[in-house]
Amino acid sequence: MKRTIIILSLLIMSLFFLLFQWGCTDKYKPAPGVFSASEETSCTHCHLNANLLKEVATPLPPPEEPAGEG
Amino acid sequence: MVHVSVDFLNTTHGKIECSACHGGDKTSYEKEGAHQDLIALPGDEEATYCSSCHEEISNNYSVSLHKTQQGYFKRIENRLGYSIENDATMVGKFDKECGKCHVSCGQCHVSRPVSVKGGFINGHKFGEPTRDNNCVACHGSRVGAEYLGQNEDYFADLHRYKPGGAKCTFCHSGDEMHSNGTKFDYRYLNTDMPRCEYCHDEKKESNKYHQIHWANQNVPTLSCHVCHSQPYKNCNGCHTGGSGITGESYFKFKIAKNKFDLEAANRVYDYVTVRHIPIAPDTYASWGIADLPNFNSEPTWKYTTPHNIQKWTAQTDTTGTNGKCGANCHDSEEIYLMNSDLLDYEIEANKNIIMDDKIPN
Repeated sequence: MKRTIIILSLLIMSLFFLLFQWGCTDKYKPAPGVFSASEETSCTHCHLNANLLKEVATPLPPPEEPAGEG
Repeated sequence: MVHVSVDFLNTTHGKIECSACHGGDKTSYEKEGAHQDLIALPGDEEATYCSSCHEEISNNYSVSLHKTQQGYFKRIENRLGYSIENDATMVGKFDKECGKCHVSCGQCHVSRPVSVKGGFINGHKFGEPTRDNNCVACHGSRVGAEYLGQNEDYFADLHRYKPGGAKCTFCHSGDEMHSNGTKFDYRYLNTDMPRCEYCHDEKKESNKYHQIHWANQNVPTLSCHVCHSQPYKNCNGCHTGGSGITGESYFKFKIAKNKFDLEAANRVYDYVTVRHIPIAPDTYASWGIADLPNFNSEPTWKYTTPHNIQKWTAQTDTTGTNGKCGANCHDSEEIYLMNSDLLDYEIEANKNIIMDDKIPN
């Protein structure tokens, strides 16, 4: 009898855990990949380095007519 | 040059992998390769890149006038007399010229808007839009110059010097900027816009002028700007095809009948200030529309709320009149929009708002 109660309790707890997980997954969409500052990529290699960017920057196009509200 | 501050890496957004938002190839150390499939402005696609964390704002923003420019679009359609929504050619022309002024999440919270050549505000760190780099960068020639007192002979808006008033967010909320999810055809219909009455309602009966022109619903009511605005900038002759504003701007203060369908926003004043907008029958000539077929469907003087509020203006100053406002408002045609103020092609379009038959005495 005691064994049946333990098994039943475990089953119910597992069911609740699954429902809880399902609810959260449905509600919260996965966040984008997390980045560690210590992990250098080509993006950080260039874009944190002002001197390097100056070397490789594309010159700005000639000015156009005034933009915005005028 | 897209220089990111090292400090950015310690912010919430800085902990997200660059390529998660910007694409590209993070393993390539050659510029061309690294920028393969680059998404320079992920904020333009807020549903994809912002909504996983900012779901409600992203959803609402999809109908914000800052994104859709529905106000511009609707005015063009009204004057054309037909919808261009499914006309790819016209929509393309709109996007190429008028559409340059739309802004995305990043263009307010990370960088300056693209229409004013962009540039990070604070090394790619996200934050509240700043007055000079964001709001005034686009809304500069009229709103910005008025509010900051940059127009010769006129004072800055008195709110500028209130605690917190140096920022546009003193009055304009995120809900207004992002929209609350309701689609509007006209910015003044956004009920999240600030209203003078929200802060100053206790002044409703504070003097006899307020009692007569604000509190008393039995006589025509005035918008607050009718008494408390200084003259403001009006524009002439805007044209597509690169020529832009071709007419000279000028300072005027004009009162007209409120026939602007603003009941939904509870802007039910009888008389309001109006500003000349630079529309002309041939504004879209370069788009193949030599003469707008339904030009008269919209006034060319539009309801306006100038950002140059003063307690004492030419209208409220009764010095030497023994407290009577007759000399300033009731005996002068100059401050009212009259038939004689209109260009020939504008007369029909403005016939419902001119004051020729309503000069108070």
